[in-house]
Amino acid sequence: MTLFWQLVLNGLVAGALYALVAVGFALIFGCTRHFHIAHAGVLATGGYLCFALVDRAGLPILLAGALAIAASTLLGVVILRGVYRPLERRGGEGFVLFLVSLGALILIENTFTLWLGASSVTVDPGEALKDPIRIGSVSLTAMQIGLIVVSFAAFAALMAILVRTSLGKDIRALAANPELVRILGGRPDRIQTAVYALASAIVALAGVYQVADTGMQPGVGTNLIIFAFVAVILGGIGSVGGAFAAAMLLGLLQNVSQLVIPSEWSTSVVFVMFLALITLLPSGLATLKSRRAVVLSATAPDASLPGDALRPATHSGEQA
Amino acid sequence: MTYLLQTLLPLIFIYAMLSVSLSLLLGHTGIFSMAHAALFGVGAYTFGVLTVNYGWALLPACLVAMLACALVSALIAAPSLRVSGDYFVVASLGMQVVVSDVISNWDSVTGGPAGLPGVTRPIIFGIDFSSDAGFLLLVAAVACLTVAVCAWVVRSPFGRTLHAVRDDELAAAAMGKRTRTAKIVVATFAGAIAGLAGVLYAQYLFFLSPETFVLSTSITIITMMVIGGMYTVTGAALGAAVIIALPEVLKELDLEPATAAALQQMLFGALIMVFMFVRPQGLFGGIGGGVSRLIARRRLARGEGGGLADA
Repeated sequence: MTLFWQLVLNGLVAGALYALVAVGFALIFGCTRHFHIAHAGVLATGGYLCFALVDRAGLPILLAGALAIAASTLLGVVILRGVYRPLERRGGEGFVLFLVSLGALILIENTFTLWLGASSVTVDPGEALKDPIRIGSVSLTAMQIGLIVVSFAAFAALMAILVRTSLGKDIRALAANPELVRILGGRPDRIQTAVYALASAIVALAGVYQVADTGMQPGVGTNLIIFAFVAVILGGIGSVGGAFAAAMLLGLLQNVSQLVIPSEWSTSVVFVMFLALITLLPSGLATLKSRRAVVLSATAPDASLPGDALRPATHSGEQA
Repeated sequence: MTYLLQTLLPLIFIYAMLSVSLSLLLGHTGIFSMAHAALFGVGAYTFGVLTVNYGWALLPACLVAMLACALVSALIAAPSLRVSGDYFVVASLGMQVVVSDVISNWDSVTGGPAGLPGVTRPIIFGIDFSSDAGFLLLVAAVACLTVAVCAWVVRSPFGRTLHAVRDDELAAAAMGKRTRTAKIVVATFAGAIAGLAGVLYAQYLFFLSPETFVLSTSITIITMMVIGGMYTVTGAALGAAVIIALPEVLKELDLEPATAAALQQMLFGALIMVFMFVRPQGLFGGIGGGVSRLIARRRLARGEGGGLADA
């Protein structure tokens, strides 16, 4: 039983990390339909810059983390305004944008590999944070508890922004009907910038956690973004809440499955279940929930069978 | 020169098959797959395991390997393409991870991280293809035949259906084309070609290592296809030559291996970005035809619908 609860806790930790990546991707995808795989590059930037600032510039870890997050936020916005915008002006969208995003991810990740090396780099957050804290028969480090708290807090803050503020209203409006926003005199470009800034700041948190805990190496960001994609699809495309819940579920599933399946197979288990699930439930777990749970999508769940962002806009959801 | 003939040329032919098979999906049908290295690996390992561990004859093993790849490809395509291309991207990424895991963890069959040695080259109609020159001939013949078949498929009525799916799926469906079936069939066909490439690769190297069939190889294949030109079969094939030759050029710079690898990847990333901006039809893709239609139609769609959300 102890093992079970320990695995549940480990699952929460993994899920909290996936969730930090997934909510931002869900927000961007729901609002702009950009398949922003370079989000993983923004995560890597958060982690690697934090390491570089501590290790090369000798800054204290908290300051380094904050600066790294700020720089990553900026990078996210630069990718939007400097790369995606000009591309869209040339008529490139759908898989063209995805290809460019993939190129950006490879470029960013390997820039850091070239600079800081291909082996794993870590920042030491101090003994106190890495000592296991016993809770009954199970244990977590303060870092891990912090990650879970930060992940829930970031999600709560994001939801508060989406539901309560006028920016949130703008974001939801843009997700629902960009043309109408433009007609009513809204500024879609500014709203998009805000969306990229929010999502990039949140994903940079995951990068900073990663470098301070298990370490940053090439491929870490890509690995995490794959889980985020799965979470976004399972959560129902466009739903930030669904993405968060699904990310947590993936983390739990991946860890608790180790009770019966050797741990080296746990990632495969998640993806096999994913393939099975999209066969049975093509529009994600969100269809199981009430209409109110879908925060970004203005349409009713039965109509929210996702359109196809990798195709031009005229292809709305294929009527199967 | 012998290095070029024995080492580089077979590799170029093998990757050309992969690049062409991927271009059938992305360039001609508009389906984005990240699992081509996985299919490549399934083909190579199925062939390797059947011939080395179970002593199968080469030809049946080759056929089974192609069949296995077609099956895996259909397994990604059937559930996900029922919904949308976004699902296919994620499902293919998932399949890439699963296949990498299976290859490196299923020690008792695949040899795990240690790899699978002992693959042999064939003797067909009494002609021995085990020498390097002979093998080069075999690979060249198979690759040229494959490329020719693909070029024929693209021009056939089925190919026109694929182009219709890519350019306007809704319209194609309205014209009575079975768009979903067409997508699943082309994914299965592309899978079989990737499997054949895997079989040749296993024979090329005599040895298989799990590190060959990872996500970054999928990205390399995507780079070849983008740079050569994803909308034409010959373009995609020639892209393989450019990308295989590129590291050889970098070797001349005398860099450390780690630096060279990172630099090469950076170059791939930058090239993908630049090409999609400046020359989406690739180095060898002709202007006109599919591309200009595609872009013109996208402009039109953007003018009408804002081009962002469609929900």
